[in-house]
Amino acid sequence: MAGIIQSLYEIRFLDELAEKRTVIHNIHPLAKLLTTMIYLVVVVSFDKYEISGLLPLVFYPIVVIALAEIPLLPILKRMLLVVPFALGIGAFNPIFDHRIVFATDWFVLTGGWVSFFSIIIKSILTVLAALTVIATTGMGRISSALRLLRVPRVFVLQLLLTYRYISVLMAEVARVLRAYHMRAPLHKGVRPGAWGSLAGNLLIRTFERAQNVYQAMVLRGFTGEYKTGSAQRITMTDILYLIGWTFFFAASRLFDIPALMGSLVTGVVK
Amino acid sequence: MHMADALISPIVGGTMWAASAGVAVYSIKKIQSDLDQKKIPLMGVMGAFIFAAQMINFSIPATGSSGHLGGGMLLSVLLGPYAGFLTMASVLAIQALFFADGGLLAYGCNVFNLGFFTCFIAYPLIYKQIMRRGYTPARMFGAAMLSAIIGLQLGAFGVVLETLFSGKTELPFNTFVLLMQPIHLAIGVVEGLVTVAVVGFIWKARPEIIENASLGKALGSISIKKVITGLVVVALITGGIFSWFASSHPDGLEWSMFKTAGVEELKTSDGIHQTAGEIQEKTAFLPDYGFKAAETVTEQSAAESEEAWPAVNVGTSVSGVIGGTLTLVLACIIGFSISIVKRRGKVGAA
Amino acid sequence: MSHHITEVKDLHYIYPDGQKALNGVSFRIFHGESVGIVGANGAGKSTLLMLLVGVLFPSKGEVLVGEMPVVKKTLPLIRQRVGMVFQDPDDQLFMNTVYDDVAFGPRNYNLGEQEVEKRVIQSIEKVGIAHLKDRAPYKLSGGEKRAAAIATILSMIPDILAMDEPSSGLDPKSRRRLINLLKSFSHTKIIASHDLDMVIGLCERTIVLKEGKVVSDGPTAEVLTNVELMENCGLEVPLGLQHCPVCGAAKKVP
Repeated sequence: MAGIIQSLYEIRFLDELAEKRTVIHNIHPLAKLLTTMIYLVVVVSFDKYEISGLLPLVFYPIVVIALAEIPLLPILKRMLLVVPFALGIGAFNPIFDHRIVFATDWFVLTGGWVSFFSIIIKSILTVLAALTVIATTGMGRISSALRLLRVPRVFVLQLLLTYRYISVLMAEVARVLRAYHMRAPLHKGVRPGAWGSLAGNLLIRTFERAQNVYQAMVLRGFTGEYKTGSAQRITMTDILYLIGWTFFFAASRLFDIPALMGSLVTGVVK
Repeated sequence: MHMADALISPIVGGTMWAASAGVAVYSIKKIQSDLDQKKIPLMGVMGAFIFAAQMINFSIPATGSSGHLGGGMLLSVLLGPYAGFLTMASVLAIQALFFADGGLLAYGCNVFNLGFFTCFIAYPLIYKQIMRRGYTPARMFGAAMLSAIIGLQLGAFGVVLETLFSGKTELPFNTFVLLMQPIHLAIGVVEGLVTVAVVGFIWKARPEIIENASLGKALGSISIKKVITGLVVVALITGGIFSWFASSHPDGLEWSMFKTAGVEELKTSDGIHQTAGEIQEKTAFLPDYGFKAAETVTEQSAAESEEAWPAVNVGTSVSGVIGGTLTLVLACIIGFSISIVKRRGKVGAA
Repeated sequence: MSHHITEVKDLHYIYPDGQKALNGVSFRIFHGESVGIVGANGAGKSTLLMLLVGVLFPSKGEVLVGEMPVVKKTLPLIRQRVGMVFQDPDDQLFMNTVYDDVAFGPRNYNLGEQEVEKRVIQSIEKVGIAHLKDRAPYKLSGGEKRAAAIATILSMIPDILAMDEPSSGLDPKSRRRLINLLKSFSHTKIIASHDLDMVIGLCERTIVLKEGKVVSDGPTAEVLTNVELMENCGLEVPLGLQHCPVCGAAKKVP
């Protein structure tokens, strides 16, 4: 049950972050969405042994997080919760990949560790980028971006309704679980005998609520077509944002920037 | 079972996005022609229900552990396959966006693994077929259990294939399968049992809810043909893509084995490796295919290694290390400067 | 003006499970009237409201709104005339911001976005939540939600307001604010409620339902002070009119 309260809190937290007014928040949601997707594709397109080439890409989430005034700690916490799952699979790499890549007398580095480390970096980059989408955009504006992408209105409306009623339903589940645990204090979860009735009653109430919502929609003229307001206008800033970042991502992909910088330094030193 | 972006390649991600989008568009067309607008708020609220219900700890008596509801089967039974699929897609979207539970690039994979297999394969081909002769508690038990288990097995297998085709993991096919399938068998059993319990309860309390769902057109022989054809097409496409991938990007392994003169065992971390190797040998059934077979180790000097794997760019060279450190330091400096400037700006304005 | 009469003629309604909800209800409500509908739980209040807006259709009898019968064909027009406020505001606030919820109705009528904005601002100002325009519904208090739900109906500019238990769950201040707000409306008001004190303060006429039938229909002051009638119908005289809880003295109707 603590999980429910925690999840509710996280949703509200991100939602509130999205309401800030910073440079990043004002960028058109479509530009942010496209930039993020391009970023993800670029990060993930790197070879499995790539490490240094990936590093410059950390600029994107860092700059966005800083400019959008997103508090780093909660994002890092969420990231630490999620990243282990990918790492779980990646952790097998050192076990199976024993190609030696670098060896000294006392230390051997195998390909497996390199690819594992690469997965760690990619995980961090992709999760950070994904979390910044909602934190700077919010569900309402994301849905308007989706409509611009010609996502069918039926799906967008359905997505918005799901989001809207999550807090209502989580509160109901929390209430039911509280009642259950008060009469079954020694149980940790819900016993099989109660599975059907607990979830089933919730489900029936959910159906009735859906019925009421449908009536409310119909009474206000809904005929099946979701009619929305006007979308945010796309400005030059938005286009420059998208193009600028894309150039940076492309450059990082095509050139190993850290290696270049490093050779510059070693060249100067010489 | 949610896949993360880090383990995917752009091609796999893109292909599955296209596949899921296609199924979604088809489902939307189907529910629109149903003329049942009631489905829209129902799909929304049910999505929220599944999201919330996934937080319930269904405890399993003997084991001291608990399972959770995935929801794909329940959604199909209550809403029909099309609405069920779309609802699952929104639940996964919110999980990906708000909790990073499943990547954005991997969203297509997750929708396919968790939505398509349950709603469009397990539900119509197993559940509905068994329930065709009418509802009895025993029949529903068998139908729900079988479809939940198989649906999740297919989904887990989907994860295996998508991860392997992406080429970021070294896990050999056999080991991966041995890892994923048994775990998801257990998960599937729990999912089945919970679905049985809930559907059974609803049937007793409000049977019309289930009857209304099953009034949607049952998949007749025509639709099954379409489904199978679709699957064959998908298999051909993915097979073609994979072979192109395998040929145009020679695996570092094959390359190195081609160049290797001799073979030696590496001293460290051999226990697991040897056992894994033995299991691999005993269970290998696609030995000639390009799946990563657990290989014995080659030991080479650093110089040779640069030559043998031109793709490897670890930056072990000094300049690479310097450059990498510089990059990270620069990133932190920029990040901090921005926040400091912002804070100064606020104090100044106050 | 006859085009604003709400009329119900010999209304019967039977639930799918066979239970009789309304057993021959008839009345006429005139333009601008404020009518309270009271009765015990299960007396048929909510069912009656749903029949008025065409969510349910009678098994016998008919409903006329401004001389227009409530049938499937006329529903779009009926729903523009009669706005219904639900018991649970969460069912009625299904968008992600108050603005979008209040705009939902006007947008469905294809009014241009400028007109929509005008109506939304007017409605939320009328109910006093203009500062909550972009707030998400889960962040609203009970009273704010109720106000927002009313605003979603006002933006459609109905002639008649039908409300199901509008004061339930409100804290005293919000409740007082609601009563004052409703007093300021010139619409025809049909209010189903257990809150008999609100009915006394708001409605000059009251209809009492018992087991699906109209048992009394008259001036609120007479109906709600009729002790025998109230007891018979599973109700009681409004608390505000009962003996003073402090000194025990009897109260007089003004």
